[in-house]
Amino acid sequence: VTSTADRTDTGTDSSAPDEPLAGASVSALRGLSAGELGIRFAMGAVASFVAGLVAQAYGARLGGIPLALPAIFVASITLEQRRNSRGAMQDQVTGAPIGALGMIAFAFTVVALIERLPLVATLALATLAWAAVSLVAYLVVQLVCRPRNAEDDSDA
Amino acid sequence: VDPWLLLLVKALVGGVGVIAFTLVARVVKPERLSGVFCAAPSVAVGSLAVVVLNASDHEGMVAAKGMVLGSIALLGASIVGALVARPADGSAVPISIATGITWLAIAGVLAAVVW
Repeated sequence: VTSTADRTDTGTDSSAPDEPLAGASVSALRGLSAGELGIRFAMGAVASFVAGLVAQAYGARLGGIPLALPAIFVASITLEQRRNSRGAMQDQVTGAPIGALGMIAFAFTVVALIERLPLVATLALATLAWAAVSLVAYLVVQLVCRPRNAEDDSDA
Repeated sequence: VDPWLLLLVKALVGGVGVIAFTLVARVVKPERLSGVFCAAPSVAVGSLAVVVLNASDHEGMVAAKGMVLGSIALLGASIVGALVARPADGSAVPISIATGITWLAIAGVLAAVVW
């Protein structure tokens, strides 16, 4: 669920060789528009509503499946396409499988802990599991792919 | 609790969850790392909380078991989306269609096999 309003590149590989593997920049929040946040809020609300409907109609077990609906992914790449930012869209596409690995860890963590720990602790640990698995998978992908990209750049 | 009110609460909590993860994704650098947030548990956190608070821990555990299947489907669907993205010339439509259909197919097969 990201946004890169200031990026209008058309390339497919947005990682620079000297770019840090991971970091943070609070100033990037300035580029967020109320309209974009509204669209994302609406997509989250619709996805939750659909999951709730399925749960009411068919029970919690079937209703749990749409909790991993790719609705936010679709909304994100559509927003990036409207912004004509192909590089950012490619980031979403390549990042989604990594985040999905983390989602599996999130769900397993909830299954394992929810009847043993308080709700807040369970959800906090599950979110940490998502972040940890996603970050490790991301770093592995970057470490494997970066040398190849550097070789391609030097060949060119 | 009235079922429609419960759905409304879930929708509101889900929307707020997506906003929260969007803000974090925006702060995270580089952009490639923030792409991971496309598959964040932004909807699941709020929905599971509402399920547990309205019903029971056990109901939440049952929903999370369903979410395991949905997450596996999401992994397969996002890989297919990435494969479609390469020749798709930057259009979100074929990626979205391929991702959605693959998610439905995998989730359906998994649900039928497991249950």
